[in-house]
Amino acid sequence: MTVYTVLMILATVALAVGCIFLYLESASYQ
Amino acid sequence: MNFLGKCFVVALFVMSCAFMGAAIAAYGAHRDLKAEKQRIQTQLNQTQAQLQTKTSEFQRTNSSLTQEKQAATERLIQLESEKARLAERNRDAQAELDALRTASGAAIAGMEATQISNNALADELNELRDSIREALSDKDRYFATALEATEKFQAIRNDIESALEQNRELVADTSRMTSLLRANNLDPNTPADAITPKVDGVVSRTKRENGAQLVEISIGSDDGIRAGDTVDVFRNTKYRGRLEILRTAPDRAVGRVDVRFQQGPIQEGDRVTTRLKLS
Repeated sequence: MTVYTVLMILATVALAVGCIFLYLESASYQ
Repeated sequence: MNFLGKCFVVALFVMSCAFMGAAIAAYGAHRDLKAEKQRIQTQLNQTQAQLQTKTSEFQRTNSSLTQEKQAATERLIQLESEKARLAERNRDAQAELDALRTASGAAIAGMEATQISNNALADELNELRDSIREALSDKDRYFATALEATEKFQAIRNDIESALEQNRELVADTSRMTSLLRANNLDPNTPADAITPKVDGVVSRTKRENGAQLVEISIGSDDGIRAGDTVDVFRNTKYRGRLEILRTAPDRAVGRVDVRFQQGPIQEGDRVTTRLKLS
């Protein structure tokens, strides 16, 4: 497993975390 | 994997991290805009209500000030008219005061003249009072003198009446005695100086003077004793001597002891009688 694979995994995790916070932010305006 | 795929992987990682950071930042800077809007709306409403209240208060105050201004203006007009009226009244009062001062000066002059006249009249009145007082005292004195003279006049008149009464009695006694003497063959015109009355008395005092003894006796000229008469002196029933009367008084007489007839010392209390006469 190369460094780029790790970077891809971290990028995925970062996207997931970003989506979760955006959801929480949108939920607060409902 | 080639170089381009590596670059995309790195770019994807970087953008994914940026996305996550932006999402976290948006979530961390969350603000409740509805509540903020509601709060601002409420504050706006309150501010508008306060503005309306202030506006109405301003209008009310403005109208009140306008009314006060109008009232003050009217009051000012009234005060101006009052001022003018008071000034007119002051001028009238000043004129009246001047007239009164003039009249007062004249009255004072008249009063001073009256005062001078009054003082003169008061002096004259005092003089008249003194004169009246003197006249009253003179009147009292004259009245007392007249009263005294009247009393004397009454006394003298009483004495005169008594003397007249006594004279009438003496005339009656004389007439009766004359008739009695003529009835007893005696002459009523016989001088009575040679007759020594028969009276008795006492020796009241004795004194020796120039070798002669003088004796005072208790009978005098009222009893008919006269100078030159002789009286005999007795003590009890013993003959003591004879006195020759030298001086007489109404109620007593003084005689000198005749040593030719003396038969003893003559003392106070010895009786004297005129029964015997030395011719």
